[in-house]
Amino acid sequence: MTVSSKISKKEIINELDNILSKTNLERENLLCVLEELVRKFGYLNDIMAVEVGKRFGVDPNEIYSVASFYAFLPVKKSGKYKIRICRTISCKLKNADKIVEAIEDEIGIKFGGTTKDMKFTLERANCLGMCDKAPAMLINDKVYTELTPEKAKEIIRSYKNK
Amino acid sequence: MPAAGFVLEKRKQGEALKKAFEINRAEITDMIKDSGLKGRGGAGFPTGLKMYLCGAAADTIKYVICNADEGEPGTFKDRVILETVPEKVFEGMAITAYVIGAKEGIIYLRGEYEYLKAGLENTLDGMRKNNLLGEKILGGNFDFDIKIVLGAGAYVCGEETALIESLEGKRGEAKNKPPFPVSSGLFCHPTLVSNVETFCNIPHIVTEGAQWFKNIGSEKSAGTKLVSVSGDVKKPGVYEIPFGMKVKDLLKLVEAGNTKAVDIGGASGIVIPESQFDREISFEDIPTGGSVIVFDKTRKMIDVMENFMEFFLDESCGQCTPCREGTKYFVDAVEKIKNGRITDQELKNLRDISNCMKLTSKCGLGQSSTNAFISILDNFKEELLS
Repeated sequence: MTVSSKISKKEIINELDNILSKTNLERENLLCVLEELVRKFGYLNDIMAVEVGKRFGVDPNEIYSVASFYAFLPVKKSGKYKIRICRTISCKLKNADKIVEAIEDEIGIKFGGTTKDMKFTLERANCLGMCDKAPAMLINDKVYTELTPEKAKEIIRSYKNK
Repeated sequence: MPAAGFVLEKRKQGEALKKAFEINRAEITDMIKDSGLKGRGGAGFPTGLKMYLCGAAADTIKYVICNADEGEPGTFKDRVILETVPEKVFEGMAITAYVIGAKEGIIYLRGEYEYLKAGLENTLDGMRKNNLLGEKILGGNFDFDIKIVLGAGAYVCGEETALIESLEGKRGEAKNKPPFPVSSGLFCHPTLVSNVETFCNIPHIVTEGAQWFKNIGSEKSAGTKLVSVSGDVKKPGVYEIPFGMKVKDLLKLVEAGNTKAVDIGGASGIVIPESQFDREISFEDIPTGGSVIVFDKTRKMIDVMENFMEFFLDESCGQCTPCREGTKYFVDAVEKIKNGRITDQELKNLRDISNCMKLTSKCGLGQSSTNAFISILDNFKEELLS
């Protein structure tokens, strides 16, 4: 996955060609195509909405409307690695707030922020379904559980060099 | 785990499907009806009736959807089922498809569980190789296959009409019912949507019979329930309990100590104090989709309230006014309670608004979003308003 502050239209079209070589243009596949774009670029932008809209024969505003509904389809600049810390009560009881502090400290941004190098975005997530192994977080599609502040920092460090 | 446990047990693959092929469709529907199996996602709709309605709908195209969008705070039992016995869920879906006359199955897997997808694909491949899925299953005339679709992080998509909208590539906004999905669901074709755990029960009922199933549980709640226990307990995890188990017995099982309150049903459920621990987990008393969160005496109930109300504000899809405006109103109310600035009149208004949301919200999210608030207010009034 490449994340830069500017993604060229050519890159987007190439990736879209690539995705659509495996998927047909039925409306039901829209979410899956948007998910693939997020996997590749980290987020969705206007050019993507226009290009996807053209292929599907759907207005770009409609593409934006759909994407903006879902937490996992970010429509604003977002880092390569999305750190999602569970905010739900079971994780809170197990000191999830301390994990948040540790990670904020490690990457120098606050909740909702993205690091300048576009590597990390830090978000709250609702229940990740890991309540028996709280506190938990997701980094993209990987789940980390039974976190301690030290363990969380170590995990983040391992991503810094990726 | 009590002796009743079977949902997470491995069993011989294909055995139930084979037996289903030997019985006629109407008989299986009756069997599921007689068993008293009700939906395990939380709403508790009778599964046999759903099968009957979807089977009776006249259409050549029908769908079976497994709702694996487990998002209720404190619930993780579907994850454990999908990690342990996914093949039983798929077999349950195949039997259901055979009964109602569907050829396509979809499992809607929440985006947060993307890491389970590869394993589930493997299981599906294995079943295809063993001729339990695909064309001419077990050499008969029945074709059925299942695909996995990933959600994208929206709690409301666990509501069946919202889930269907999402599968159609749209915003996951709930729709007015009727029509119900059993008559007009995915792409306007009859669609049976059920929870992971519900499908997992079906192969057992088909092989062991309705009476065997009815013998487990309580009078109006047949079978067992998987509950996900978390919070202040020594042994958090998934427990399979017969319906009708008392809360205090469950607390013993999970080794909870110094317990002050238990939330049953997650953010949309209710929070009960010690004086109600002899109540039962069942459809006739306290139903749950699977979430049980335990709080010990060091916890403040206002924090629980705040967490749940913020959750609903965050997850309300915003299309219908009572839910969109109401959830905000309740978050503000929590703030007022925290600052000791809430008046009796405001509390009375909140109850009215809660009733209004229950009556007029389009889907279960808005309808149930104030349950926790009201139950905490009723059960912990002194602590809250002191």
